[in-house]
Amino acid sequence: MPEVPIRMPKMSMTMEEGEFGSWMIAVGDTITKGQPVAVVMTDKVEMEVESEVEGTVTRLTAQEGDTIAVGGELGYVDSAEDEGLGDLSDLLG
Amino acid sequence: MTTPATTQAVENPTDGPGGAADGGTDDSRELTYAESVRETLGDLMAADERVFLMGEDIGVYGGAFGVTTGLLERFGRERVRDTPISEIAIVGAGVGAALCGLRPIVELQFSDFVTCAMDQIVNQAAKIHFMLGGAAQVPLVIRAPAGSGTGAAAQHSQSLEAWFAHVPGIKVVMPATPADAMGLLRAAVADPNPVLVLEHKLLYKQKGVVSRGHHVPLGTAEVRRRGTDLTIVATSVMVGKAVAAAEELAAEGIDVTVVDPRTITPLDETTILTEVAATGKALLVQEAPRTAGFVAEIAARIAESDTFHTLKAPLVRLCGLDVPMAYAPELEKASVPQIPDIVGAARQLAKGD
Amino acid sequence: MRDLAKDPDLARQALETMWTARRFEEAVDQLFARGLMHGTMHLSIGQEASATGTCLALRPDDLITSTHRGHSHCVAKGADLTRMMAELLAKDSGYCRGRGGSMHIADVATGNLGANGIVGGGIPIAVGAALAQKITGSGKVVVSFFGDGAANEGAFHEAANLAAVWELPVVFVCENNHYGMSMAADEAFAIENISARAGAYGFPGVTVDGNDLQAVYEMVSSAAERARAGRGPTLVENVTYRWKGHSKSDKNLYRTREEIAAWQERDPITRFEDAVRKAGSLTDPDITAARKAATDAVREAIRTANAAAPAPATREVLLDAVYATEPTGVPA
Repeated sequence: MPEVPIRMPKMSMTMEEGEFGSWMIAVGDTITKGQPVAVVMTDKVEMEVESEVEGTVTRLTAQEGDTIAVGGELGYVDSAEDEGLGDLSDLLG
Repeated sequence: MTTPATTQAVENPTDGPGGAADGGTDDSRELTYAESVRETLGDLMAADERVFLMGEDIGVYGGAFGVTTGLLERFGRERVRDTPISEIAIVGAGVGAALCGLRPIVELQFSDFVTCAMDQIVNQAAKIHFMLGGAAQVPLVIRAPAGSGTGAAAQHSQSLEAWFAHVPGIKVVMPATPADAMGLLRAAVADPNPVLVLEHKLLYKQKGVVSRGHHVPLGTAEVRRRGTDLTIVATSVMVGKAVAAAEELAAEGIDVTVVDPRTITPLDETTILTEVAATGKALLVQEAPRTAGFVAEIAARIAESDTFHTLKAPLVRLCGLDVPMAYAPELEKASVPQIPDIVGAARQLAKGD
Repeated sequence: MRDLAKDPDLARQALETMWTARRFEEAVDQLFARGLMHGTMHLSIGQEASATGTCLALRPDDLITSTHRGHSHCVAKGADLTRMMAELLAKDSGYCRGRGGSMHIADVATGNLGANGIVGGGIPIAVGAALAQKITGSGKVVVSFFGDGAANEGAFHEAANLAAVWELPVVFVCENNHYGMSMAADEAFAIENISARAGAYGFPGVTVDGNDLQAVYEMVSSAAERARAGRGPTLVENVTYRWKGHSKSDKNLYRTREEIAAWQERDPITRFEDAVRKAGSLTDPDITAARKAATDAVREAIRTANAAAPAPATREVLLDAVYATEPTGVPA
């Protein structure tokens, strides 16, 4: 099953990077699509990051205080095969 | 005031594309500005069933200034549509109908009421062609009586051309004579873009020589009178005042050029720069308040071009005061340039005091 | 009036349309989150039945005007997904050549006169389009989509009144998703149902469960028939809910997770799938196939659109884009 990254989302028109706060999940957890998985700080506001896929958490690489660009990888999920769009990376060559 | 009309006849009205298609008869009739607009609206509706009118009180009432009198009887309620008092809907419906291939000519009862319809004019009509990547167009004409001198006071007397000159996507014309009212309206309806036609209220009763079917291309200025000592650029009702001032000054041996841009956007910069360079002195006259008014744009274009080097004196602007239009007749007159003001400013500029 | 769930072809078409709208919005959500899309996006996830039921009730040459939350209207009206995606990705091959973006997508060829960045801005335009249909006797109907927020704009009131007095062939479809941007509808209105406003202008208004595809389809069909018969406008209020925030900057401070979750339980698409299963018109594999077709179509659109050239950014291109140049053909 493909490992899919959890990415720093763009959460406003002008956001270019965010500061990682904390994880709400642990390695090995099963998560669902839309489930909040982390808290990040942007424009002085805390925002929750939601998972875009369903699956099992494999690695959590971002740590508190890390500054990560929009689109950057925070952690990884072994995504369950579903009928959704998938990660889209393969389309963005 | 017959001088502009006489000059018009002498200079030969510009014949642009479509000029060959017009009536072309050499009938030198005299019509008022209002009659010229009325005749043209009628001719356009008779020639093309896509043309129709919408506005408040344009039907039975004949329009607040009598411009559309008789058109309802001639064309019926489907094509001369009285509307409720709903400027947003009037202009917006015009946008929608134009998008679908009709050729609406809508009337705002006073140009001051553009404020009620600003979104539809500025955010919709002016931008749809661009925003849609060229996939659609809005051939909408908006006519509106503008300007002061009738005691209508602050909310019914404005000259707001500068607002729309500043909006890419809409064109603005200010015909100063009956012939130009005819010709520019014709060009406006043929143009695939939204066009705002500002008709000065004081001009409606002015008579002038016209020929049926006359067409004036947008973006062409008219030199009303050519002189050697200074160049006046004037818009709308100020054109006639400038020409009258020029006649007075001629008696003093001061010879004045008067240029009428006719179209505000797109501006015929070439004619203006050429005529200013020919005399080296420019007096820019508008009724609208001075600050950020349209002649400031003309001044900037002169100053930033090679014409700058031909200037023998600083540019002079003669404009309305930066005040809302008062009610009392003397206050109203004192708020905008009058012929003696133009004469005085021109004399000063010519003599280099 | 056809029962969409019972008709295999219509059921399949409806499912594919709704899933395509859903997947398209999910894709936009993801691509935006990755920083690949500029500006902001107003997603219609959760509102698919309103868009689809309405457009299924129309003929192919009927017209619509849309809103800033217009992707699903566009999809339901038959737009080309690749051109839509290309527009959002700022490509020259996008519907607006990269000049309009999400809020200004139009597909004049399929009768979509355009999304609109001004709340309520499209309503008078729809009325004008309806006026044109009446004047020319085309027999076409215009749907004006707008939200609960727009029903408080002056433009709505003026346009509704004008449509009523001139008996224009327009159907006003109000997608009441309970929030303007952050203001709850019950704080913005002193009335219970927005449909009541139609009566104030002299035409029928009806409130419908906007997440019930069949109900939307039936109501808009009757309204379209009324309009086509020359009997004037109707207001159809589709009560629905948007799962995502107003825009991509929305922190959802004005509503609770519980409220969002409760509405997500009542997903209009899965609700229709249940109706289809119950009617027996399509099998489970058929339903899965419809979902997959939609997903594949959106993925393909992303692939193609992403590979296309960006909009050329020269001064000349920009200046040439402002004014139309072909004369209107009115004898001058």
